Amino acid sequence: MRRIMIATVLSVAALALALAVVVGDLPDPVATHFGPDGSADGFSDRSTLWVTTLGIPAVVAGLLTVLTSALPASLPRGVRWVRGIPVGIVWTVGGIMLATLWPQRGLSDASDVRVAGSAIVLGLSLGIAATLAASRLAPVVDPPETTGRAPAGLPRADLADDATALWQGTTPPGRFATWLTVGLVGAGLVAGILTAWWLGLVLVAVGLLPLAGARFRVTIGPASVQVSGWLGGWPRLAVPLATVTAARASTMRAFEYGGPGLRLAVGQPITAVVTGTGPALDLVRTDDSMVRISLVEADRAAAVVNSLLDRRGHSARPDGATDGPG
Amino acid sequence: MLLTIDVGDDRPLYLQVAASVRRAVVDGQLEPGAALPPTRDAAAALGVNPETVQRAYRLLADESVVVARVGRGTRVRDDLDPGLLGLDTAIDELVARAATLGLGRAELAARIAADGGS
Repeated sequence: MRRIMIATVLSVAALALALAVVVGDLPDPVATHFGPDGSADGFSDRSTLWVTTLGIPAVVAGLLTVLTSALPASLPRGVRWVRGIPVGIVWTVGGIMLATLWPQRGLSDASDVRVAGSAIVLGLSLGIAATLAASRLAPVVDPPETTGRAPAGLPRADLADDATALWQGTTPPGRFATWLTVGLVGAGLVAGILTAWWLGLVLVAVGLLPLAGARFRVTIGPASVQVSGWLGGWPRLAVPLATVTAARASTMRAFEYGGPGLRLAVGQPITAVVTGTGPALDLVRTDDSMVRISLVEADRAAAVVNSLLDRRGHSARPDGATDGPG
Repeated sequence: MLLTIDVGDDRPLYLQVAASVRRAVVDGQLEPGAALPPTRDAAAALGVNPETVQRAYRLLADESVVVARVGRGTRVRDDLDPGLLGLDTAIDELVARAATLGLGRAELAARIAADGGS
């Protein structure tokens, strides 16, 4: 996390430098809000730019740095990009701000400026790229590996001793996420037709994000449990079985971790894939962290995982194994 | 849906994968229209060559159990009757068992007809 913090501070410093370069050439007052057609409809004193352009993203990035530093050290593979969000926020807001300020250089009256909607698209693109790049700075930490069997008393699947198994299931469809997507994409299409294309594009792009968390495919194999979302398999999460000690079926509420989707519980070592209230597969890891996944057939999945855990370095079936569903 | 292969089983691996898919359909774990695991995912999870899984899927497509479409992957046929598939599978097993006893299809059919008339 220290590297991410340094990257966040350097990003804020770069934004401050960029602002210092352009601020002297800007009109006063400066245009700070724009209508759908790109014309300025809101103005601020030039001196306030240090607060709006630099202070706000710096404070937000600082808060997100505190939040992300509270995440468990061993996040499942595939969600480590979350650690780069503080840096991404600085580049997103900074990118949008600078893209709207840059055309105002040398103008005597800010009302003459027109800003292309692509400024927002540019800012979002910069933010995504910066998030992914910064997340690579975080060290990859996996929980310790184990070859132990799952605890006796947990359900097992009826697998032959020498069998290799693949189990695949899906999460229940997430109604909340689906309706959110329908609403945002619909609003985006209307906005794109009636106002500005870029506004529609941004709304449609943002609207597709909840769809990614509306339904997931869960694949269990001897090596890992893989969870992949709808949008080309994204978001994708992988939990190596070597880091799992037990699997259980439980129940998870839709808003237990703040809402549906891929959730990282701050202050708790829990990563959750939530699509709604219902059955869930709980994977307990060797560092006592847990991955919880909404799953239609959570009991079957837990039985398969436990059977696969038993096979790590062993060929015989465990004593007391119950014949779970298969 | 659970697919299994057993290294202690004498049957070729692709036949085991195909049988596992049929069983999943008959058991209701794979419903008509449901997607099969992507070849690469299935091969990686089962620890076999992707060609083994592709061969199994091709066999199932030849049997009209699944249909492969570009961009949609391989899916169980929408109009497939799992009950009839279960019956066909049971018949195949019966024929195989009769063969181990030296009975041909005609003899087996005669025994079934005789049994049905009793």
